[in-house]
Amino acid sequence: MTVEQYNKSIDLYSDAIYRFILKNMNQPDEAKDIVQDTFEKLWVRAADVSFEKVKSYLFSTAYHTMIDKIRKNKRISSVDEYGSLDPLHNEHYTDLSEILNEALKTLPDVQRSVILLRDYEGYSYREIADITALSESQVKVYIYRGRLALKKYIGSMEVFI
Amino acid sequence: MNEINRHNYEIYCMDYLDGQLSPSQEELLWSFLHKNPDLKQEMEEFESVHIPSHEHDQEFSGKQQLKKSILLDENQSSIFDELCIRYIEGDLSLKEKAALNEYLNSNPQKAKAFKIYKQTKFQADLSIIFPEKEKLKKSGIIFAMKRFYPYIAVAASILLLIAAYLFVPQKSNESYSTRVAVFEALPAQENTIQLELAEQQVLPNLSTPLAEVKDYPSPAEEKKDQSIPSEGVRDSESLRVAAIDPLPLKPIDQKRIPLHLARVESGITNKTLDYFQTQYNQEPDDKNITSFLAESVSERRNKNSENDNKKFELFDLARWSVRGVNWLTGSNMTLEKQYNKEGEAEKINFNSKLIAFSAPVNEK
Repeated sequence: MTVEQYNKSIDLYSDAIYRFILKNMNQPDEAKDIVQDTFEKLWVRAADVSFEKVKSYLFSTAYHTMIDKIRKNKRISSVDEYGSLDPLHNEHYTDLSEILNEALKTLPDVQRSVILLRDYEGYSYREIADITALSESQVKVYIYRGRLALKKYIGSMEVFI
Repeated sequence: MNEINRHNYEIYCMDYLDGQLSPSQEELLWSFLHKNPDLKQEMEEFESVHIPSHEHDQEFSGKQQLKKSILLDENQSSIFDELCIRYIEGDLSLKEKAALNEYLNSNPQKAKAFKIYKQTKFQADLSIIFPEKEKLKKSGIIFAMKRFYPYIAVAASILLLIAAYLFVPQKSNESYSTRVAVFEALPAQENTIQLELAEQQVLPNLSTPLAEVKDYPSPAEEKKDQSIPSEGVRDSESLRVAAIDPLPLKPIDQKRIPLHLARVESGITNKTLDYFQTQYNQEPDDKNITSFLAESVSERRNKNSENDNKKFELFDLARWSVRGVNWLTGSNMTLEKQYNKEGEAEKINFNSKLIAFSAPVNEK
């Protein structure tokens, strides 16, 4: 990969990676750090990564960096700091997208990631499996469980809209 | 075919009633029955009890109930949720889509659930952008420098080792730190002291005083004197100073120095190389680390004079450093380039007792 291709990959994919990480973590500073780390890792391995595969490489690197960071944060944070996942305890919502975002936060990390990769980037099950280092069947199962949980959450919240 | 007689006529009669006889066989059967009127009557009685198939006009009414719905799996569990999710993911076949639509039209409650499922699909918020793109971008110069990183890293590490060897005090008997002389202070009115060698074997040819120093004890020595007196040294009248051999400098034979220094690109100046050359021209007995480096530089310069197109590379510096460490420590480390069939450098191999590694050379 040339320096021009590297810079072009920043223009093409940094926004998408930032959105993906931000939606997963809900912390803009952490998301920025992860995007920077991801591109620094790409820079180090620029000679080994072709431009055609750079998007997959970037998402995979960002995903694994994020998972590492989430695990580290979870070790540090107390369980008490997490809000209740019961939708009935939440505030009233007027917008479906707000409900959807809240529902997304209730999902386990891996389910949230595979659903966002599917919906935001339109990746196939195979591609998601490659990025997340899961099997294709696991990806399908996680998407199924995630959608089921989202539907349940939204269904329960529709009463309050 | 066997002849029809009174022992086998029943078989023919049954086949006739089932419509299995050919026209010729039917003709034979009827001729036989005409000859046997009692059997003909029996045959007519059989025909009267024959039930035509079209009389089965009643159909089973529970057919539809027995059919399995596409919305049930093999364990008879509802797969409505699965179908909805597969619909969102775009995994349903046309047949399954049609069946699902039909099912939803007849089940308004399920249609509502299906609508909620459709809402679980996320849309990317394109207003969210990464704000620090420009900070991430790299210039071409830095990219070009990247391929020298392994050389720079190796060279820097080895230079550090050399620097550590040169500047960290050694405890060997032959190191400078042990070349210590004890001066006996003379009477104060003469204002000088007489040098007395503590270790004659260190400086055997020293017969005259090397230096004249004032009797100012160092703060450390002063403290030491106050606490624990050194054995064999007079308490208040002794002073330690280091006597350092001066390096003999000789004039440079300019004719022996091939000057091709304009090509040097690593930051080593002509002046530096001239200094190394000077050291190289010394007597063999006087050689030290500096003269070793001078020898290496001189060899390199001679090589350059043979091949004007070859440039001074960081790899050369790294190799010199390795040789220098070998020379100083007596170790047997090697740093070599490995070439492929086309004569292009392919790998750099480093070998030592403790560690060995191989790094690919990226010429792109």
